[in-house]
Amino acid sequence: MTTQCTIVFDGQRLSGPAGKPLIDFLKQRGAELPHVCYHPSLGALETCDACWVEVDGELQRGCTLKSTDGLEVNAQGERAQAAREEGMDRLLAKHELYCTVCENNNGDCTLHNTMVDMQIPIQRYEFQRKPHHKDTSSPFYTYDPDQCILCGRCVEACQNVEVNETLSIDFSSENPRVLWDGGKEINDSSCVHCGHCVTVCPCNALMENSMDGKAGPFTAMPWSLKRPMIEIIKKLETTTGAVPVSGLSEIDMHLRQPEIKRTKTVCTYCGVGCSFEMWTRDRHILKVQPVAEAPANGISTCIKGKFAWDFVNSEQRLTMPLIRDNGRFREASWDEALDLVARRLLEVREAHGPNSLGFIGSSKGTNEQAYLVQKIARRIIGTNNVDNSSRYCQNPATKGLFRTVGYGGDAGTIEDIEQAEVVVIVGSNTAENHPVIAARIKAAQKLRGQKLIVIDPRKHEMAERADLFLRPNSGTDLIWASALSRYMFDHDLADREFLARWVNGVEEYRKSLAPFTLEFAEAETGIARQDLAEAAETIGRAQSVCLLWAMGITQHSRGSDASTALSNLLLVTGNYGKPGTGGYPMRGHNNVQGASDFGCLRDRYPGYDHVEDEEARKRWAEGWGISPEALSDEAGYGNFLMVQAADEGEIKAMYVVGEETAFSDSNTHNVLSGFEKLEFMVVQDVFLSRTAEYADVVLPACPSVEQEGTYVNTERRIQRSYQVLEPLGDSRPDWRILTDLAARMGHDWGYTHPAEIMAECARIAPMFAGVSYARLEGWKSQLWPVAADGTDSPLLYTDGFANEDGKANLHPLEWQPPEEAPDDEYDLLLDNGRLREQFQGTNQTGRSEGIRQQVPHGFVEVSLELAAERGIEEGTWVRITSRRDSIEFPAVITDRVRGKTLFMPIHFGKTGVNLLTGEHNDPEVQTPAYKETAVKLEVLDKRGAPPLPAHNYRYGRPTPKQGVEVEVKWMRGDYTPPPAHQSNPRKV
Amino acid sequence: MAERISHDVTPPKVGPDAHEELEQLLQTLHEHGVLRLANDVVGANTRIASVVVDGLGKESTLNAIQNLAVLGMMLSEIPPERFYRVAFALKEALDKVGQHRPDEHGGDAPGVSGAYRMLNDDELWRAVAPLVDGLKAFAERLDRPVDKPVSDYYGKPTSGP
Repeated sequence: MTTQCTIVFDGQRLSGPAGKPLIDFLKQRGAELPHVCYHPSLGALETCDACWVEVDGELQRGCTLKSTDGLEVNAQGERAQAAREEGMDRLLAKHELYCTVCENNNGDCTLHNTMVDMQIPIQRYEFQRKPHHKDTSSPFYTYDPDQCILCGRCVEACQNVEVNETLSIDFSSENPRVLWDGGKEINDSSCVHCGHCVTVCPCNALMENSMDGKAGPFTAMPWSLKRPMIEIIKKLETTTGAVPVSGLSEIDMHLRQPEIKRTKTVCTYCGVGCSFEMWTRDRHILKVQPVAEAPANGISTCIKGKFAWDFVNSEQRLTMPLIRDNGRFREASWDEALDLVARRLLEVREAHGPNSLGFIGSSKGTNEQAYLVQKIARRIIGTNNVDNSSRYCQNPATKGLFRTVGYGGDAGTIEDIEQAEVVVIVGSNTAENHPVIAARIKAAQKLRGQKLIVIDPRKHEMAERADLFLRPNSGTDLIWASALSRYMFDHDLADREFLARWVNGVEEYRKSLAPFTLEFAEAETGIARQDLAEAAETIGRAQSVCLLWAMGITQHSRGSDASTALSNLLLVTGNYGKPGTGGYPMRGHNNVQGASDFGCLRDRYPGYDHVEDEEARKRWAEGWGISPEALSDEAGYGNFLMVQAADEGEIKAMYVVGEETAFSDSNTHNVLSGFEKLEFMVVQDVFLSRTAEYADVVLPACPSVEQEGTYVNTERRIQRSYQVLEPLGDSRPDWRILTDLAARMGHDWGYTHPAEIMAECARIAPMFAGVSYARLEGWKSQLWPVAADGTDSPLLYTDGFANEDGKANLHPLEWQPPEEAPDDEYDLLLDNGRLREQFQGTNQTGRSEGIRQQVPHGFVEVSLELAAERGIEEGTWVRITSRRDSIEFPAVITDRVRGKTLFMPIHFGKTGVNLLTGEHNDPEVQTPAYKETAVKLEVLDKRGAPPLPAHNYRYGRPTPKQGVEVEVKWMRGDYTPPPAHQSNPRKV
Repeated sequence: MAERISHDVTPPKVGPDAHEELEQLLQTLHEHGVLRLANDVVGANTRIASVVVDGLGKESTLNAIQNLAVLGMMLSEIPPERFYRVAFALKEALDKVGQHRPDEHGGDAPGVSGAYRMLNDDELWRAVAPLVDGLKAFAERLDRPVDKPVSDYYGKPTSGP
C-alpha cells in the first residue's frame, strides 16, 4: 500500500503518495518546477542544473528529491531562482536558439518550453560553435553537437534502458560531446538504431531524419535562407531581449498544431506489442514517438518500430483489386472483385462441400480481422479449416502450456520478467526478435543483479551477456529440461509444498524422469554435467524464475514435448502464480497471440472454446443466431495440412489474409504446387506478395495505421490501435472487406465499426467478457481472461490453474531424436531465424532504404571451425543443399554459430530458406521442424564483398558505463555550482 | 492450374495534390471565419475603400505617414545602441519632469535686478526647475555607456544570444 504524505511547496501544502520524484509529484498536482534533464523514465541525471530549489536553507537539485512527509521546498527564493537561471544560461550557451525554423518546436521541446516558462530575459552566455561536425551518417537520425546541451538523457537511455551501451559523454574532455562507441560515427558504431536516444532528447540535438524539413511552416526553408534569418533575429535580440523572440516561436509552435496529428497506434512487427504515438503531417510520417504511458514498452522501441514505416506510402502498395484474367492481373472494381469472390467460394462449397475450403487469417492483422475470418469459415462456409501463422511457430508452446497449466499464453507480464530473480532464455534470440523485452532483461541484470541463464546452440547477444551460457546440441532441450527437473527432486530443490497443493501427477512424472540423469543429459546434449548442475542450483534456489522460449524450441519435430518439459520444470520448482515467475513463450508476430485467441485455429473458437465441446458449440451457435448443427464439430485443417490437402486435391479453394504462406511454410515446392492446383484462391494483403502471385483475386487491404482495431501481445495484453492515416487509394480495412464479403454471401452482419465486432465476441466468449473499446481507450489495456466487470489478469494462476480441478498437471515425457539429422552426405545442420533489422519476407521492412543499407543481402553464417576446414572466407559464395533443393548465398564467418551448424536469416530471396526445409513436423500440432534441416555445403568459385556491411552494428564495440557520468563534470576544476557564474559554460 | 503471375501494381498517389491542398485551405479558411470576413470585405469594397481614402486624404493622416517615414529614415541611420541611450535618456528626463513637485523641491525664487526679478519670479522658477532636473537626468543618462541595450534594460549581462 502506498504511503501518503504532505509536502510544502512555496508555501502551498500538497498531498499525495510518498516516495515519488518531486518533479512528477508536483506535476500531478498542477505545480511546476522547471527542469530539462529529468525524464520520468530515466530518473534524476543531475546534469542540467536547471531545477535548483532550497530545502532547509540549502540549495538542492529538485530532481533528486522525493515526496516525503514534512518536506518543505522553496523554489521562489532568490538563490534558487538565480541558480536555475544560471543553469539555463549554461544550457543556452551550448545550444543555438532558432526555434521558429527548428523541426523540434512542436510543443514537446523540453528546452524551449522550460526557457519560455522561466521567462529568461536574455541568455548570459553567447552561443558559440563547437569543434565537432554534425553526424549525418545514420539513415535514420542525426546528431548535431552544436545543439547538444550535454544533458545525458540519450546516454542514460542507451546505457540503462536499451542497454546497448553505445553512447557516452566524456565530461573530462576539452570539448565534451555525445560519443558513439567512444568516438565512431553513428553508422559505424554498435548503434542498433532503436531510437531511444532520439526519443528522449529534450531538444533537436538528436532528430529523426524523417522530420527534416517537414515539421513546421518555416522549417523547409534552405539553410542558406535560415542562417541569415537566425543571425538577424540574434542581432535584434540584443535590443529586444529574448521574450518577444520566444513569443514568435510560441506562435510558430501553435501554428504547427493543426497540421501535426498525433495518433496512438500499436506496432505490427513483433509480439512485444509496443504502442506509441505516430506523428503525421498529411500522409508524411514525421516520427514515431513512444511515451512513458505505453503499457508494454514505455519509451522503448526497436529499429523496426521506430523507423521502418516507409512501406505505408510505398508505390508498390496494392490499391485496386486485381483479378486473374488470361494469365495476367487486371485491375477491377471492389464490386466486381467481391461479387466474384463470394460467388466462387459458395460455388466451391456447393460443388465439393464445406471442407474443401480453407481460410488463413493474419497473425499481423487485428483481432477483429481474425474473428471475422473464422466467422466466415465457420458460420457461412461451415468448416473449421481455419488457422493462422501460429501453426508455423507457436502452437507447440501453446500445446505445452495446455498440457500443464491450462492457458495458452504467457503466465505474467514483462514486469514479471523484469522482477524475476532468475531469467532463463531458451531457443530465443530475444535481443533481435523481441528487442524491447530483451532490453528489460538486460537492464534488470545490469542494474538490479538479475541472474541470466541462456541455453541455446547459437551465441547471440543474450548468450554473450548471460551469467551462465549453455550450448546444447540442437533438438535436445527436452533432455536437459527433464534432467534439471530430476535434479530438483534428487537434491531437495523441488517445491514440495507447491506441488502438493497445486499439481497433479507428481509421482508418475517423477518416475518418468528416471532416464534423465545428468550423465545421460551430458552425453546427449553436449552440456557438461557441472554446468547442468549449476543451472539447476541457480534455478532451484531462486525465489522466482521466469523461463522464456521461442522458435528454437518450437520448430522441432517434438516442439510440443520440449515446451511441455520447460513448463514441467517450472512446476517442479514452484514457479507459477507468484510475481516474477512463469513460462513465457515469446510470440513472434505482433498478433500471433490474438489471431489464435480470436479463433483462427482449426479446433478452437475465440477464447479457446473447443469445437468438439458441445456446450461451447451451442453457445457460439446461439451467439450467431443459428442451430448448433450448423457448426462443424470436427477439428479442421491447420494451414500446414491445408496446403498439403490442396496439393492432394482435397482443398479446392483458399482465402489467405496477410500471410506469406508461399514463403513461410516449409518445403516451398509442395506449397507452390498446392497453390497451383487450387480451383480458386483469394489473397487479401497490403502488397502483391509471393503468395498473392498465385491468387485468382487479390484484395487490397490497409496496413494497421490505416484502420482501427485491437491486438494481443505476447503478455496477453489487448491494446487498441487508432487510425493514423486514411486508406491509400482504394485499399480498405480488413474488417470492412470481410464484412462486405459476408454480406455478398448472404450474411449481412452490418458492422459499422470494429468495436461492434469486439462487442459481439465479448458477449459470446467468456474469456473476453469484459473487453470493450471503451475500456481500451487511449493507453489503457486489458490482459485476458477479462471478467465481465472488466477485471483483467496480469498474472495467471494466482488462485489455481486453468484445468478442470484448478490444478496443474505434470506431463511425463519421453525423448525422441529429431526427425531429420545430419548424416554422411548431408553432414551439416541448418539453423535459421530472424534478424533484428528485418521482418518476415521483407514485404514491409524491405521498403525502407535505411533498413536495406543495414542488411542489404541474404547470407549464411559459417562457424570459424568450418570456415577454416573448408577454406571459406568472408563473402565466399557457398551452395547449401538439403534433401529438397539448393540455395546459394555468400558466407559470413562468425562464432555465433559453432562447428557444423550453419545459420541462415529467413528474410531473403524470392523463395528463401524454405526451399531447403522439409515437411517433417511435430505430430501434435503439425508445426514444421524448420530447425531440423540437414544440409551439405559446397564452396563456389565466387567471392564478393562481405554480405554484412562493415558498418553493421554487429561489428561495433560498445562502451558500457554505469550511466551518465555527471560526477566527472563536477570533479572538473573549472566547474562551479550555480548560482555562481561559469567561466566556460560551453565546455561543462 | 494457377501459375504464378508477376505483376507491377499501378503506383498509388501518395499525399495531397495541389487541388486537394487548395480544397483543404478553403475549408480551413471557412471554418475559421476568414472566408466570411473576406466576403464581407470584398462585398463592401467600394464603401470601405471610400472610408479608407477619406481617412488617408486628411492632412493629419498624410502628416502622420510622412512623419513616420521621416522617423524611419532617421532611425535607419542611428546605431541602436546610441538610439537606445537617447531614447531612454529622454524617458528618464520625462520621468524626472513628471516627478517634479514644486512644494517638495522648494517654490521660492532667487533674484538680482532684472535677472534678480526674474529669478525672484516664483512662478517662473517653478516652471523651469523641472526642466533643469530633466536636463540633468538626460545628461547623466547620456553619459552612461551602454554595451547591449537588453543588458542595460534588464540589468543582466550577456555576451550575446
